[in-house]
Amino acid sequence: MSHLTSKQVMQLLDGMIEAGEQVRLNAHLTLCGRCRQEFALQQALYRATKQQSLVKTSAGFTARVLAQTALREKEQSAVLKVLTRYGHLLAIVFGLGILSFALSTISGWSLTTKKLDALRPSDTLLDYSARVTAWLGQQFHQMAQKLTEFAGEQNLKLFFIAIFIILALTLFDRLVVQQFIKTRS
Amino acid sequence: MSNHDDEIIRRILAGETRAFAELLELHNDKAMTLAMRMLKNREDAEEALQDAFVRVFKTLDRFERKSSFATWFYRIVHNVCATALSKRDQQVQISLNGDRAEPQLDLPPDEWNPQVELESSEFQQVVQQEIENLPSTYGVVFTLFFVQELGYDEIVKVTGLPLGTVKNRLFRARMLLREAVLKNMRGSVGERKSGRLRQETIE
Repeated sequence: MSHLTSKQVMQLLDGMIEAGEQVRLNAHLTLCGRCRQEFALQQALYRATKQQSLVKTSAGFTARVLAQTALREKEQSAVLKVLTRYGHLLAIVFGLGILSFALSTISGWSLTTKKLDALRPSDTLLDYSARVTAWLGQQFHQMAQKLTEFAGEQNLKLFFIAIFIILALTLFDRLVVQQFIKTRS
Repeated sequence: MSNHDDEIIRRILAGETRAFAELLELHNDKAMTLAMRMLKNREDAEEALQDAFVRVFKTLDRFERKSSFATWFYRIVHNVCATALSKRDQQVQISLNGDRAEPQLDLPPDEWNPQVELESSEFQQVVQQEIENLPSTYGVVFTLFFVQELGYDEIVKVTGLPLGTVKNRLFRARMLLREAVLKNMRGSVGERKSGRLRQETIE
């Protein structure tokens, strides 16, 4: 048998040789001084490699990383957190905005027929919030009425286009905006 | 994933962000060793490692547990270091032709007995020094195998290299180390011989 190759010696040390082949190589090792010498060398290197010392990070490294992670948490709490959690809602609101714009342009319909009164000097915060709530209620009521009329006018095609826009924007948020946020982080 | 890693991760995800310090302490030195083998510079390695840990912190909730935490974590460390390396543009160009025939080996010097030499701190120092001198291309795979104790498949996942390349690089790394240590030890044996000769001449 010819001498063992370095690869065979390494595989023998790593225990990556089949049992039968291992017996054959070990038998050769007992007979061949040259291969025994090579095996001893590789074995010594293997052991020394296993005992190699690790590189330590400098003092204060852990503290620096922890400080940075805390900072990142704060940073993320502003814009990214809103986008991550409420991105789809923002897309729906934006879609509704486009819908009302399209409706007002095409059928002369405006949501702001009855404007919200400005803050009066005599108003308390409670008075004003009550007025804002009432105004919003009226707007929604009006919107619901107009949508019913609109559907009745057989403008369903336009209505479905608007719904499609909302869905497209929501999908855009899920597939693009959220992915962008993921990539950035 | 090791149970310890698993438990720490569960705590972090439950909101106990301080547990991240434990995860750091657990993997710090091994990760630093990997970063040093790739970047060969302490400052760059620490900077890259810091970046890697911040990434881990930010994306831990997206860790899907398809592989062990160690594999996932070292992949991040490897990618960050690889980016830093390419930015630095100092990658050593080495032929990676796997079909090359095995080089003709120099045999160890006759007077050198590895079993005895291994016990000497000099041998350990030489090996340590030569490991640090390995080109980063080989040093990465070598470190992942011997320090992180990852298997071939895991090294493939960490580095993104094909299995054949991983095996080939590991083999070449060990051959480079063998040759470098042998060269060094031959020098030492030569010095000892000439020292003995001088001694005999004096006597």
